[in-house]
Amino acid sequence: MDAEQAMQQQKQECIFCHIIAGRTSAKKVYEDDKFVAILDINPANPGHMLVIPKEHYTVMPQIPDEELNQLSFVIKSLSNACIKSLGARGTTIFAANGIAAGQRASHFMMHIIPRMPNDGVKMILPEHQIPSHQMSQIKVKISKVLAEIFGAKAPALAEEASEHNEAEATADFDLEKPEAPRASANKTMPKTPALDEIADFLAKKKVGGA
Amino acid sequence: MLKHNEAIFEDETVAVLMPEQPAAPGHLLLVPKQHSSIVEQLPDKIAAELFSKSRIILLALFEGLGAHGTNLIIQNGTAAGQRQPHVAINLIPRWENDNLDLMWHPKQLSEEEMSTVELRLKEEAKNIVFEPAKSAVKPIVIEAAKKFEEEWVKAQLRRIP
Repeated sequence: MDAEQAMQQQKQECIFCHIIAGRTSAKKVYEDDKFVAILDINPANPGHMLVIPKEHYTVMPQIPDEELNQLSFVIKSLSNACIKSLGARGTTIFAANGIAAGQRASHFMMHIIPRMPNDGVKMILPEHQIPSHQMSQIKVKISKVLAEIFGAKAPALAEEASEHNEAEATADFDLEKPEAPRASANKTMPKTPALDEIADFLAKKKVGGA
Repeated sequence: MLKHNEAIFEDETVAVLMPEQPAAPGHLLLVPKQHSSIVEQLPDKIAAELFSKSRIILLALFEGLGAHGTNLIIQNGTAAGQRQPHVAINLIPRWENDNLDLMWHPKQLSEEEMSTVELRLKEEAKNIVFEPAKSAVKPIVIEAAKKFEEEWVKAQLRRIP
């Protein structure tokens, strides 16, 4: 069986393709020309949504940019909907590519989980100490691939980066002291007290502590 | 927690950083250069740019590190575990039996609770209208993506239930 046949067979057996085609019922909360959002039947929290492309893709790297543009908008808007309509205090946005990452269906999807403080959803990213030589190796490998893909020059390796370069780079991009937001022609979410509060709370929270 | 000298890629709009204490070797953070605290504050174009770049960085984790899988995680708001007041997308390479457990436990909700949530979200989602012209970013056409699709997906197809 070649890849094309395997994909065809996967589509025929795919529960999410059946849901999209209306052959299987689901609690659909949003739909446009390219995506649907349904409630997860095994939710981590009330309002846990699955945002699913109508086209059967297995993993995110297969999705064309035009669709990803739309997906980013849909995710942002539905996350906002959790805050506005359910009173969520945040959201966890999650996707798995491959079985090793916890993927359970062959149809790519993104999860939006509405979050409340101390809601018992155990989804904590562990923090490991990785030896610096291993970090450097990883950096070299990833930089190389990214440089190939983007057609850019590979960034200087950690060992080679001079003090001067570091100082310069820190000056133009410093996470601790974010620049004032630039005036933007782009539309952001309409301001709501809940959103402002969540963002303000984050800003006031002591930064940098483990 | 984040050091700029660990940026392994950057362009006009985004930077890729390595957290000092990663969840897995190769854990990367994709951040927009323009400041937004939470996802809802991201201008549409920046959000689109972040998703488009995420796709490529996931590809780099597969290709460059030989990852078996990848996770994309955004901790949006302190209730979701966000620590820095700056939007960041966690891109994490995964390997079989890597002992990283990111799965949640399902909650049992009554049919009534599910229906209430469904109605509220549905009502709010009516206001969502995608306008392509406002968010279109220049598509990044990459040969590596095509090669990946051929090879990696083919290998994975039979292994996903």
